[in-house]
Amino acid sequence: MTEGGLLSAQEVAIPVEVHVPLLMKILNYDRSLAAKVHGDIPIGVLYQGKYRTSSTVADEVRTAIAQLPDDALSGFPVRLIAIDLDKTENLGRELVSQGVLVLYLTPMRAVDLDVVLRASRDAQVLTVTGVPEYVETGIAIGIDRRGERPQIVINLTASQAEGADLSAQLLKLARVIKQKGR
Amino acid sequence: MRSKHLALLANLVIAAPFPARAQDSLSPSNSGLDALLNTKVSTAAKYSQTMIEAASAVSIITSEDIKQYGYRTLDEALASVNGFYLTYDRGYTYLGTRGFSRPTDYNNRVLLLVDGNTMNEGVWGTAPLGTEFTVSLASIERIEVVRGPGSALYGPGAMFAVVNVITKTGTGIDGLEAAVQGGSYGQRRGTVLFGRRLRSGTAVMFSGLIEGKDGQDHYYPEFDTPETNHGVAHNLDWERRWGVVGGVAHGDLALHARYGVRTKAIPTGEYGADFNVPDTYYRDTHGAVQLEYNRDLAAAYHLSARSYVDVFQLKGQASYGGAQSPITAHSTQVGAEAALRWDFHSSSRLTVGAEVRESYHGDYVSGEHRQETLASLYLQEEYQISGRLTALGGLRFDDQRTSDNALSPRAALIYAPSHRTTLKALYGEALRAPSTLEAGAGADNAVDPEGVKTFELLWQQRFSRGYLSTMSVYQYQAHGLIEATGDNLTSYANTGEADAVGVEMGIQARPGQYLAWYGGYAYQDARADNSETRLTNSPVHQLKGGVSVQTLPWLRPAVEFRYESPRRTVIDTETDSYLLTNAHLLITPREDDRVALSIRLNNAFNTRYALPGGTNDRQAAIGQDGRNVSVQLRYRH
Repeated sequence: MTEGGLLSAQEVAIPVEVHVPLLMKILNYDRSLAAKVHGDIPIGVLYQGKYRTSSTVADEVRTAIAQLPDDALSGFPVRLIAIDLDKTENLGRELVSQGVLVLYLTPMRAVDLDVVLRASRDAQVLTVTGVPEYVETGIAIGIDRRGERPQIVINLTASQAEGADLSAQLLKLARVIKQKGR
Repeated sequence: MRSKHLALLANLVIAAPFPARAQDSLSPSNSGLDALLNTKVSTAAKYSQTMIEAASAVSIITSEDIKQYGYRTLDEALASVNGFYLTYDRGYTYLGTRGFSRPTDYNNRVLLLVDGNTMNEGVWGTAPLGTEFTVSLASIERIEVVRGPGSALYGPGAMFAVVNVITKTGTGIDGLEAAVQGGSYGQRRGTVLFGRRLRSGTAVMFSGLIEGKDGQDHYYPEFDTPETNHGVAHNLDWERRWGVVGGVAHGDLALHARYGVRTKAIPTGEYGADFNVPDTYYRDTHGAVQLEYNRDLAAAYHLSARSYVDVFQLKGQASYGGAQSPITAHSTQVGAEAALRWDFHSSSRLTVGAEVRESYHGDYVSGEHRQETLASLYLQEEYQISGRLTALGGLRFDDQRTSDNALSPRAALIYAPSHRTTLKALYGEALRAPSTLEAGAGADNAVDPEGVKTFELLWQQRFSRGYLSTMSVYQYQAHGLIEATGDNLTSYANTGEADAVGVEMGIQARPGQYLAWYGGYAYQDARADNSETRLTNSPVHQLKGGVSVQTLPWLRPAVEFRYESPRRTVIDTETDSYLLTNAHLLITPREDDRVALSIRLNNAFNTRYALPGGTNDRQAAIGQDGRNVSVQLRYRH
């Protein structure tokens, strides 16, 4: 299986209101996250302002995160940063300047994933998404659907490249994808 | 703290027994209205979008709806769609939409798909929508209904609606399920469903259905003479059917196959057949194999392609003047379709496609065997003008060897002033080429395609959490309608025009996982053109609704009602209006839902009602079933 490629508008497998709180719970099992925190946890939401589905999901993510308790993520509050890829010239620079620690990818159209991966790995930002197909092409953590249950999908190579240290207990619960690293 | 998180995570994701009630299920209805609105539909544009984004009037019937309301057949599920109404003539079920359901039109103005593959057969264009649809409802993930013309994407035949039945994937099923069912009129049914994602990543699914029903004796006063058993059709309402569906998916490839047979006795003496003669029946066989390929080629290109073989056979017999006469027809359709989707910017998506289809068919009436070739090109552009305004335009060109070429355009504007409000202005044209029977039996073979033009304004409003209202105003003009003429029902001509205006208002409420309800009112004024005469088989008013409530952790009752105003018959009488009430009880004694008991009561108050017969029937109206019950026991491993 190769990494990179394109992001074509795929589907969110599980409703946002369900998978976002689940992702927040999952992030508690990144042992490297707490060491990077300075007061709060900035989560970037990457979307395309000119693609309605993407901007709608971004709004839903914003709503879902706003409803989380203040200490939902390793005891720290979460700060949401919306990043419109259609208006961002340099994603890597944006991630660094905003201090983003986690980057959530909404469904997007015609986006070269290499651009996103290069930026996230240079900035050591953990990527998460509700579109399970994106995990198979290089995003670190996603949520799929198995029967009537959500299924955690982890691209172990990608998560390690992004500086995450995921606990073995979490990996046991997940469907783990191993790829040759970039 | 961390161990508490881990326990919660484990409870959510692993398949171990735990309190798995509605709140832990991810089905759209149990996750509220948001989940339903985010359910992706592919029928409206041939790519995934939400029902709010779709440039059409779209309804979704989910697998949870099927489970909670206890639908047993496809037509029971479709009856819940606003603007839809059904007619049953003791042989086949016909779908009316927006006031249009011509007697004996064989459902050839509605396109029925299963996983994107056409189920309308090649002789009459019939869409099997009742018990002649042999796909088990347990294998259905959702039913996507697109009301209005669909020829700009699907070609000839999609005049008034496209119904796409999406089956569950092997990954989604993830287990084995079996059910047995018994009920009134000697009904007995068995179904099985299996699906799994293998370690190799291949997903497999299989579903099977087998059913028998003894039926009832029916009395028809039109045949009340000593020679015809005083109008009683004895032992002529039985039915046998079975069907299988299978699917294999790996990577970019998916293979679907289905095969089913339905045999139904006919008690009505239709088409002038001798009344009350044993072994008067039709046997419909539908089969299909479809191979699909979907791949993202590059940063902005997606290729989808499919090839298919569809087969249909009709066999039966009836007696005319004391002599048994066989009934046969067959069609084989072989085709391929490819479409390239180009996202050259996040705001713009262009789809270009082509389809080629060869059809071989023959029927007992014309005695002819014909070959038809269809070659089509279509394109569609979706452009987001601004954050709130989207435009869509599409055009399809169909070249049929045995019929005039056709252009089918569509256009739409979608304006979303807020996240809660969506306004749509829709225009579309669609056509239907004459079927083999119609083309062969026209005067000098001069039967032209019929067409329809539709204009619609649609308003969708979310208010409060869990409530969605929809209001639609539409107008359509149908021209060159192909109808049977004269006493000889096998003569066809483009007899005339029809136009209609209508309003559809509906509300869907899913305020939480324990309660779901819906309501809908449709006003449809459909008339023959330049005339004050309403179309036959066209109720002016429809009112329908349903409610499903989780009253106890193991008990979920549901009730639905349907009201219709009178329909005009082919002999210019009227049927009575009627109110039908159906009830359902879903009992799940185990917390993991492995076992379920489903009790469905149709026509709970035993309402006596009749629906218009066709031009092939002596009966102006045909009585429908009284109160009947079915009980289903399901086990899931």
